[in-house]
Amino acid sequence: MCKSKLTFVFTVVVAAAFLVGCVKNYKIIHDLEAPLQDMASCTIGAVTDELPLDFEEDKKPPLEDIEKFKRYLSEEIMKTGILSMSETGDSAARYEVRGGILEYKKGSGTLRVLLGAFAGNAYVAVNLKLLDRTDQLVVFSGSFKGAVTHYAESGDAMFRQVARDFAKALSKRAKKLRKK
Amino acid sequence: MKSHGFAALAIGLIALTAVTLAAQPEKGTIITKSGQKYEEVLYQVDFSYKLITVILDEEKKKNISFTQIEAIIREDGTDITAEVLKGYYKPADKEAGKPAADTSQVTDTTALVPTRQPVVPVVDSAEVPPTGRPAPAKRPLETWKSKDDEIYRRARILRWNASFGLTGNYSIPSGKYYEGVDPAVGFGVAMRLAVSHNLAIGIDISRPGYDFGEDLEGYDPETGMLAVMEVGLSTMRYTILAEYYRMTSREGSNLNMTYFYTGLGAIKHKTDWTIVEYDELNQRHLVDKGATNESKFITIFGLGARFTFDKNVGVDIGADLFVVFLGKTRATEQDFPVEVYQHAANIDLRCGLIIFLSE
Repeated sequence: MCKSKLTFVFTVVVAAAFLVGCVKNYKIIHDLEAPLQDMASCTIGAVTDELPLDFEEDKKPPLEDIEKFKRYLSEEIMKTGILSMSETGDSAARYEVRGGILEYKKGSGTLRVLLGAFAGNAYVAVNLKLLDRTDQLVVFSGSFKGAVTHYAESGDAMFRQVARDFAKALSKRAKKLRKK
Repeated sequence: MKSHGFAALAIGLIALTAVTLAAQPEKGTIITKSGQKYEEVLYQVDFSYKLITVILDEEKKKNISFTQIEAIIREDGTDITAEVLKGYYKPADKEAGKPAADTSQVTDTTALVPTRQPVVPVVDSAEVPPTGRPAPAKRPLETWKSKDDEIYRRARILRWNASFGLTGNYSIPSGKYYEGVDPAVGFGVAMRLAVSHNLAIGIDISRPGYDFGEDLEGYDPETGMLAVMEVGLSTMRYTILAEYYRMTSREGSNLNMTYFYTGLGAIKHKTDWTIVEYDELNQRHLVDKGATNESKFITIFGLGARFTFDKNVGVDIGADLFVVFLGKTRATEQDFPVEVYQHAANIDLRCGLIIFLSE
């Protein structure tokens, strides 16, 4: 392959990687309108099944994955430093994160290894909301997507990605409002 | 390079047009579960994020999750909620407040197991009716099942573990490398091991019945005798492969499936040649003979379908493409040697018997 062709391919790959990196994997449904109470306690509530009615039972995410997802949410929100996380189900917490799984594909790690990208990919779409428990109102919500296409990543990585995006989006908005 | 640029531009424009057309907003009335009504508004459905974007004015847009949609009414008054939300349209949600139906006549108890938890009565603060605060939300139930649950345990059991196949194939050689070789009927054996519900690994060994056709004949200018060159070709292909398969039904006794696979391996060509001459008395004289062996790297891409007519026995129909990598092969063109990088191909049409082994 001649040098100019290599340069062209390299440029396309870099441009594609840049574009993919810039794409947000979420859409905000209800943005935070007032600052959060500083370092108020927050707990992770229920993550419910909002999958389509015809979704097969044995293809739904198992309890263990949901528990992991809740742990990731707790860890990622904790990292942002905007809220203090308390135990799951803590009734005294001021805020609560609730979710609903809208779409899920478990994927296959073996397929990703053997057949490469896009084979055996896993993805999830989750509706996440932050509730102010004092009045049971949603103060922040959005639809978040996570996917795993790389052979070296496990299927859990998509839940981690969703948790990270949620925490980042929330903290970004909370910090912006605090500055005002 | 220019042609690449134009091709990329053309693909980009086609994709952009398709995306633009697909994203054209519709007009209608959106009613949310909290009672908010957006009358005669433009909206766009985003199936990727499972939400509807209501365009309130040029700058103001509102995203509403599928789970919060009560109804979507077209301009002509038609309720298109089910059509738009597809599987996310849950008419049962509307019935959630009503008493449960009489199930005394139902004998299948599995039908009574609720598959969905109640709708979370959480209200978006932007949609609170001005008349008062919403009632405190009831804590929803989570119905996720553990990995050890029966439904997952059953789902993990593979419907077949291994398969053995015997196929007949009609092989068509293609490319300069196979010049003079005729398409022929051969046979092959195949073995597969199921790794998961969609993945198997396997080995294929096949023998295409390639031949050079009729023997070459001519007269020896020195002796004047009829010289015949008999050439025989024997080819074997060995491949290991990964197969993606999809059963046509999740349950039932049949193992009907479609599949595609890809793999790599080697093709071995053995050529035997004998030159004989026939004198006036038609007596055969051996002039020369020899044999050559040549092995090449191959890749295989195959697809097909399997249908079982008995519990574990079925037919396998498909096609394979073998790409033969020849490396830098020296060839001549008008008596001048030229070095060319060559690929050749074998296309196989297959049909055979397959036996499945399962626990």
